[in-house]
Amino acid sequence: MRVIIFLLVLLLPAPALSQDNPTSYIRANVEKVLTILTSAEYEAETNKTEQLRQIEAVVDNFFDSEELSKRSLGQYWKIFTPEQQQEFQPLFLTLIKQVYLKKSITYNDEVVNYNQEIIKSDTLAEVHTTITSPSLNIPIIYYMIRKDVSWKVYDVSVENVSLIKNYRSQFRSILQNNSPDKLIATLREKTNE
Amino acid sequence: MNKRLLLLCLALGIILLQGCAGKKAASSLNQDVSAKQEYEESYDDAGENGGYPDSLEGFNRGVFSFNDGFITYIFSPIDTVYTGFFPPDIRAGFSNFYRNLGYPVRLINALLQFKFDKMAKETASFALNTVFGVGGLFHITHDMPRLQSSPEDFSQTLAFYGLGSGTYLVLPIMGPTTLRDAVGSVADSFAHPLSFVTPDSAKYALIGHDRANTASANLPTYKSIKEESFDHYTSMKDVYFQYRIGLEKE
Repeated sequence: MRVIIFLLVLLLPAPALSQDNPTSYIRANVEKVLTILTSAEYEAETNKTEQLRQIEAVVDNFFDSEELSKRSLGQYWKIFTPEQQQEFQPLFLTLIKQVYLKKSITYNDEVVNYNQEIIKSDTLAEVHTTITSPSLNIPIIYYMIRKDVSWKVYDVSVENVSLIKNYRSQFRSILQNNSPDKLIATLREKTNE
Repeated sequence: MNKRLLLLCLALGIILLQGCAGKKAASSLNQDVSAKQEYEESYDDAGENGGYPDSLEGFNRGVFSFNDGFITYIFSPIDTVYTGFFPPDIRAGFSNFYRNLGYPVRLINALLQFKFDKMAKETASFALNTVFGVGGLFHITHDMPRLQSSPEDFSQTLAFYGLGSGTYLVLPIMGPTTLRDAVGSVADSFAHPLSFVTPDSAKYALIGHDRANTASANLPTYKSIKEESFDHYTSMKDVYFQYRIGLEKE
């Protein structure tokens, strides 16, 4: 099996072998966040906001906001006007960042293992990781897409539960009875909390 | 009549798939196309079929809000006392113990699905944790990747033999389940060692403690789902189905 994987690696086009492969992208970002989280510099309560800002700066480029939005809305993406789409994207990105940040903060004592990288095509990949703590293992999968130079995350699943699919279920149930503008307003309210 | 239609669709499906496979082999370029298709599908999959079966939605929503009240006003305060009294290590010890005890249930269901590798993994974990983990209080195999396997239960066995999940169901106190999962957990309870404990008072105390301890461990997740959701009910339902479908696949 390993030999086959090795041979497959040899067959990959050159760009995939460069620094910018999906796993190294995830690893670099996760490590940056962990370094900030565990740094002694931010031990004091007064420095916590600065710490959060630092982490947010890392997470900023982590996600592909258009892809997140499209997938979370599914079929409803098409009924949004271009203006509504433009309005929705940054708000939803903010929400996902908030959720992701909260999760990474609760997991800060654990070890991250990078188990597997599945390259689906030149532009799609999955990175399978496990977070191991003294009492439990949590499988986390990052779903990635490459539109230009860099890989970006478009979905994260924790214990087989995809974040984006979860929001899609909710948005669908909201949009069945409400207008896109109503959803955008709710989203704005939520992210301002 | 319906069966014939189904067969026809199936046959058509197979022909189409073969067509795809043939093309795929013809040109490596098509690898991209199939990945693209998968991408489009996963992006629309829950879109067309209207989501998960929930024919009792009105009832479920009622029970769900009752449960939410119960969790917020009764269970949460009790949990604060409980977690204050028992430190995390002790609570993890309880949950390891009960998990280890559930071994026969997982073994039988792995057997019923012919998952022999899982039976071996479960048996090795059970032996190691029982002997070296002080009767299962320590989950010493948790960082042995080769011994990890997702738990099997009777509902997954029923799914293995082709039974659908049935409607979503929210039970008072017990929380989210499906018709099949509810039947499955009743069946599993007969094989669970705790059901053989006598007298009955001790049996129900232990089962109750197991449930409460698990619920306590899941409380932070419950709270974060509530906080992060727009539609708490739909979000929980989705988490429940995604998680269960994930287990079925493994």
